[in-house]
Amino acid sequence: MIVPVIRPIDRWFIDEVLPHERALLLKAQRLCGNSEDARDMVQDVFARMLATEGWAAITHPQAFMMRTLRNLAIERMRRSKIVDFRQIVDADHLGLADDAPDPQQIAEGREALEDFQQALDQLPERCRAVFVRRRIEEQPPRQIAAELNLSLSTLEKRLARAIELITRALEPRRRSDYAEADEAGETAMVE
Amino acid sequence: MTPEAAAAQWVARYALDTIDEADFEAWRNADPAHAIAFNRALAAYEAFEGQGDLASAPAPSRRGFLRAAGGGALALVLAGGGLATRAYAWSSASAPIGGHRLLRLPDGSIAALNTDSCLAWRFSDHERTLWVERGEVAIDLCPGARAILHGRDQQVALSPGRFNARLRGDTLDLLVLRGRAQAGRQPIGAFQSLLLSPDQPPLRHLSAAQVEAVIAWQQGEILFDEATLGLAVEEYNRFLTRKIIIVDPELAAIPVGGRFTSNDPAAFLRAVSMGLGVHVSVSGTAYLLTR
Repeated sequence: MIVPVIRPIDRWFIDEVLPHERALLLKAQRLCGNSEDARDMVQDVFARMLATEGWAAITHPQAFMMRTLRNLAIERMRRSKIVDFRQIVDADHLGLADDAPDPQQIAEGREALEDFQQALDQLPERCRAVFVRRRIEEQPPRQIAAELNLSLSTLEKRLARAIELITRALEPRRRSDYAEADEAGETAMVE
Repeated sequence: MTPEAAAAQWVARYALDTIDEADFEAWRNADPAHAIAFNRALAAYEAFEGQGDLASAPAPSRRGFLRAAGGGALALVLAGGGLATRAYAWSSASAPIGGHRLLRLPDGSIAALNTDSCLAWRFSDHERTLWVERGEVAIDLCPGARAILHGRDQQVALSPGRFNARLRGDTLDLLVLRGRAQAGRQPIGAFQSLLLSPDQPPLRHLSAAQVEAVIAWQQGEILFDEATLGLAVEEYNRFLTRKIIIVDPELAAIPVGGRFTSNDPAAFLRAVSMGLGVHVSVSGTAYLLTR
């Protein structure tokens, strides 16, 4: 049986799971106190989501992931000898995250567009040219190769490089603003 | 090659129609991180939805955004309607023996009910009143109107914060985890606990371990730290319809400690039986502890 390159679960993952990454990272960081472990935990949650057979039945992926994150955090706390008390108190709340869009998420959506434009502008010119022709102008690969006088494999390399750079630029876990936002969130919590 | 670089390469091949599907499938299945990296790269590649969208739409997940925005509006309407109809009505919720319930109160505050507990509330624009009618309740109070928590005859003013309130007979045992409380002229700060009885209210400072034991029920657990078997059994019985009975009174003084799940006493009874050499027998209505 041939498995399609993009399976239904991948579509679902892109539309329903990935957009919550930033929120998950913020929670994870509050739970474990450092960004490296937070990334590991979120990656763990994502891996579990992609391995979930009943994924189509998950009605609130964000709430589901927050619960998974909470369980992972509690497992971690159990393993560690010294338990920071705040973590236990916070861990309770994760199960209650609802699907209402927070203003930050909405603002984030708008920012993401600017981020994309910026990421595109910052690509090396050779990579940008093939990306724009293929993705935005939707030119056929052979036409692009012929007009730029490139072999198909060079075209592939440049497009791959463009995609890698844009992916990196758009990833919340690599962006510094999520650490800053976290501090702001902590301050807000203290009232 | 890093998984990110490989993922970008597969997306490029997919976009150029040069992908070898069997090779790709083998790579994707080799590691869960590969599937995640591929989807990240694909999402980034697709983030751009055409020139027109650049001016108007919030990328990358426009559908998700619109759905989320729509859902938000709906939730607001429902919340508004709900508040209007029950502005002056009493509401209450309870959890059965062995049960556990989480509630979102009308103002967005959160309450968790422990086994065999009942909480009532009435919220208006200028006051939020909460009644612990039975059992134990954890409350996470969000900022808003003045909040008053009632026990049997006592009342305590609460600031926004997190509290654990347990009714023991006529006494209300209030633990402040975050924020402040004020009982009469007695202020209570974080990690302090006040026993509000008809008599003089004694204020206690709790250690982190003691605080952890108080709130362990929210994880479905019971934590005994330097307790006696008598206290532990009393605590456990709150969760059980079939109660544990200490037949030989001298057993009650044995010191115990440990972490157990609250809804199943098997592990606890096993620990008691093996660790303390206490004999456990089961009758139709009770677990009997004898020497």
